[in-house]
Amino acid sequence: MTSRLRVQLEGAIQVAVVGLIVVIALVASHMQPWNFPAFHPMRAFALIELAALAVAYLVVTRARLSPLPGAAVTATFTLNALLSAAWSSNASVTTDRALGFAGLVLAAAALALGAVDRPRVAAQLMLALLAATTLIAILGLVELWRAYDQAVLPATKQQGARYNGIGQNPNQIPMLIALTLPFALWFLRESRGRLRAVALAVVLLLAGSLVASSSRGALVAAFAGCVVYLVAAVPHRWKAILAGGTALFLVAAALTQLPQPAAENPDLYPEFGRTPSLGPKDIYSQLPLESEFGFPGENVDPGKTRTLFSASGRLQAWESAVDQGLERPIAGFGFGTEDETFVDRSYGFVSDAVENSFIGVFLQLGALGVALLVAALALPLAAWWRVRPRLDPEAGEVAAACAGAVVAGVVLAVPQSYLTSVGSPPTAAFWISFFLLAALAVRSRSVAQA
Amino acid sequence: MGLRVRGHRRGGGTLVRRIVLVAVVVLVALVPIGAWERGRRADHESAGMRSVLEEVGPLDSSELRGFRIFANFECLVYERGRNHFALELCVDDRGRVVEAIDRRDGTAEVWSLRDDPSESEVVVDRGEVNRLLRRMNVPDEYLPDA
Repeated sequence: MTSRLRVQLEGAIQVAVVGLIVVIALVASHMQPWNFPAFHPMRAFALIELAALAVAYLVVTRARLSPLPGAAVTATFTLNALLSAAWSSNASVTTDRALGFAGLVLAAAALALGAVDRPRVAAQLMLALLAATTLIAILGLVELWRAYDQAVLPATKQQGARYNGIGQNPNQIPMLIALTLPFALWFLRESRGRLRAVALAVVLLLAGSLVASSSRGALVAAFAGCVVYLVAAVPHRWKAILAGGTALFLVAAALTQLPQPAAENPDLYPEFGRTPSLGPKDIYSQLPLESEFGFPGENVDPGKTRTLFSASGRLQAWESAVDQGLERPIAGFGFGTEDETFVDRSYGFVSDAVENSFIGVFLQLGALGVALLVAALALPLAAWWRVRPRLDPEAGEVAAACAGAVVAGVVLAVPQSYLTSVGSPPTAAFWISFFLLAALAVRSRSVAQA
Repeated sequence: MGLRVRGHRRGGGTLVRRIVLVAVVVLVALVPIGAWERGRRADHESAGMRSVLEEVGPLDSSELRGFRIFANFECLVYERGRNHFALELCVDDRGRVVEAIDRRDGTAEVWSLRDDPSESEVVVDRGEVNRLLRRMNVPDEYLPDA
């Protein structure tokens, strides 16, 4: 009875993980009606369902509640986030978003505790994350056929056309792909026969979507994650992996430069896309708020083209956000307030967020929050690195793939604000991978003790 | 069915309790620290906004150059000499100054509490702001009730 229930719960958890990732991506997408506010509560429903199933699994399997590396620090970080409602300028937003984050951490930790003595369960969860990402990538292709104008960001004078898939922008879904590409490689290595052809198709689909998006941060993150996985899984061939991986990365980077900038900027949505002037005294068009710094003037061509190495205005935005964070350096402005607190005043930068998870957390939770986050991220990676040689082959392979996903996530956190935004497509995948890595590091300890 | 907590070695429990205690103390101490930082920042930004307001002088000045309209506040822009956008005051629906910008030396010095308007200590007559905006042909639908 218990064994049957356990298997049923494992299946249900896999479905719930796929459901959570897909629902979050749909809500964040450009696809109507899934991105309507009325659909937003589905995310909370999917998260609660997953957490309930994960806790039920712990009870049914009489799982041992081992302290996971990084879990205590992550719990402290989460408490800090919840507590920050006390000094936040928008307590209700802080409370809502901190509760969402706490729910995700709880669900991911419960899933990981169930995988401590069962690397097979960790592998099932990785497959679920990969299946969800693949489904989202396939939806992107459907969208490309159904609504080309939505699935592709047209070329401008600054950059060539970029593939959105179902995302609202070309960076959104590639972030999730970057995290799960190590899982796709793991799937390819582990599968045999016809399944291997499926795995190869998945790798090509995800890599192709990534390159077509020209998302440079996601590309670098995917490269880092895949190299970490492969070097850890096949350590004696590390030189060949590094050389081959670098060559592939350079080819991918070159491919992102193939779409050429347009001779003229496209005239998008002429009836909606402009702020109407309210008369000769309305100076908004001469001095746009979001372009206070570096505005070249009305109708002036800045003459800059997006290249592989241009920072898209990030450096100025980061500097401005750090300066702002220093106004409340210890405790910050309150969890979840990054998009309200940060004001984009740079002409070269287009985002409501800082686009750096660490600076974003500094703004939200101050220096203490950043210190807790960095410590939380480092502990499972350090624990895995220490125990890696002692892991049995099955657990070692699964842990290496999780480490690849976590490293990809950490690299991605530098050019993107997402680590604490539950509504961002890669966030749930990141924290599930993070806790799975911690669980697999603990497993080696328990095996060694046995 | 049930959960089992993996035991700690002797002495480990005491260490965990100490770490938890330190974490709780630090987190509890954060509440007054966070509130103090919020107030200190509000004082600082309010002082900056007040100095810009003093530089502007009467809102209905001959140097009133124009306006900018945003979702949560409206801004009045004043010129100084050849600098058309020298000083700017942004006012929310309740008349609280939530942002002020001084561009007199060519760079923008920004004082802002737009993310925390309830902490602003600088208030102007919202009715007068509305009157000035109407005079510059801003339709009523863009203006809050004074």
